[in-house]
Amino acid sequence: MAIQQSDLTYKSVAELAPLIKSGKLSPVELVQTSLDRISQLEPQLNAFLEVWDEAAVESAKVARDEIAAGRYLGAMHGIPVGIKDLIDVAGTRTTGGSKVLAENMAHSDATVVTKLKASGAVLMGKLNLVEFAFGTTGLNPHTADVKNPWDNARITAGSSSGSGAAVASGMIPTALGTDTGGSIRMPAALCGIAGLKPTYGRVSRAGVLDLSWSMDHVGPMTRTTEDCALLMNVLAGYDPNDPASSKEPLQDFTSDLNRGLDGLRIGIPSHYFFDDFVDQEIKHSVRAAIDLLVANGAEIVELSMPWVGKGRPINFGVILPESVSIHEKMIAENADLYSPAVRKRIQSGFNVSAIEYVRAQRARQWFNHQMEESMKQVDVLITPSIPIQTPTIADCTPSPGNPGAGSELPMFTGVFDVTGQPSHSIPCGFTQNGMPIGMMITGHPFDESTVLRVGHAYEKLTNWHQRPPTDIPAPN
Amino acid sequence: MTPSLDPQEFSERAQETGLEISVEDATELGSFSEAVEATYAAIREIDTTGFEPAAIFVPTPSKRESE
Repeated sequence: MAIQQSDLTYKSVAELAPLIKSGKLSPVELVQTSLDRISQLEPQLNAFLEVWDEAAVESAKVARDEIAAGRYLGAMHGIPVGIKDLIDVAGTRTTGGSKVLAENMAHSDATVVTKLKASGAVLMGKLNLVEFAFGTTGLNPHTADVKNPWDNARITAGSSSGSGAAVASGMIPTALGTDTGGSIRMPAALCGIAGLKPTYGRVSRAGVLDLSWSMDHVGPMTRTTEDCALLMNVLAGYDPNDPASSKEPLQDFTSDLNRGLDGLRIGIPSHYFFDDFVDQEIKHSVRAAIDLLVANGAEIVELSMPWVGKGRPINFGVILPESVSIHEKMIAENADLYSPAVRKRIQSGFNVSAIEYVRAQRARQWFNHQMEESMKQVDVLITPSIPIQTPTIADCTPSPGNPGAGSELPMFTGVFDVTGQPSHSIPCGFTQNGMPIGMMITGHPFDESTVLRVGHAYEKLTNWHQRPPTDIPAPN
Repeated sequence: MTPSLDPQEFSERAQETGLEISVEDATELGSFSEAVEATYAAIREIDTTGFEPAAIFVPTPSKRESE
């Protein structure tokens, strides 16, 4: 019996891959389902900047024929993937969501795109984002604002806003995002999906527009933790074209998923992440999630981390001068093509002195030392992903004299861009007004497997990640 | 030198390092500049004695190409 299109819309890669491998589901059918869902929801959500429908169908036909000929390449073969428009795909434009790079044609693939193509994944198009990824709300005046599928009046957060909305709404099962202060994990949290910021250096940045060389990460955004693991098996690995790429041994990121929680030590910071400024409903949901993990075998360790609030200032203190350096030529030549908010954000760093930058880099080393000492006691940390409830688009839209709300969004995520630790956001509940709440699981550097193990164990105990968004139509 | 909040001074200092920003643009930085001030003030409070900067150059081994 044929599989209904509507039954495919919210399926995970882990569910789709066996169907494709066995021939029960054609990649062409899956891609067409994805294209139909995109047509149904765009431009309501503004998640996509470009949809490559013809190329996607052609790629799906190639995948179908390869699989039929016995050349199945693995779990991503025939799976639709969306690409944040900060990442080069040869022969297409990489605009960074800007007017400055509106006609910037990519002549080669980013390393992560090369890897996706080699895995047989089907590239569906370019996803909306914050201009040059320099912002947290997800809003972009050049490209139309991305709407949250759970409440179209609210933000998705960003900068990987299109990636968050597209995966959450069932347009595509997987997307690539980038994360410099939280741009994978923030939209994952507010859209109710899974998003993994891998260890710094684990996934190549080659062919990805820079925001801050020493903070930029590339990673997966998916419906489930297991799908993040499957995508990491494709994306991770040393790349000589990325100066920061790591030669640390690779692992099968799915290998520990089902090891359960017995013996795991989970660190709960007693400072900052659960302080009074954090929304009560968010704290309650994350505490309840921790209780559930403890009831299923994990052990809790309260960690005193009075220094941890310095993480976000260090994060921004490094990002700002690096972004000024990256943008100085473009902004000198095309200042008028930048949106006022992003131009001012960059220009505000024009007088940061060399000593301030060096102080920030020394402070980063100091901060990482403190974190290493704390992490000696535990396998992972668990915290809220975001301290506030999802703001409205109206509240976050800048106006003259008002930069807009949202500066609190990266207070937690930015901490782990400083340390480069793997950090993963998954849904752990909903607020009373029906918006998803994100829980962040953060591990030791290069130990994505344990982070994913905890996330997967939690998802097996709950169904938050399986609920469909409420402010979009059901699949046809 | 810390980030200046005076627009004229801000613009002049930026231009000394080859970064062009008009006095008008500098005037409108407002809360962005305040956030920058707060960021580096928070960092200056940290005693980093004994810690080198996180970004340290590491040479890559190389050899003359064989003919």
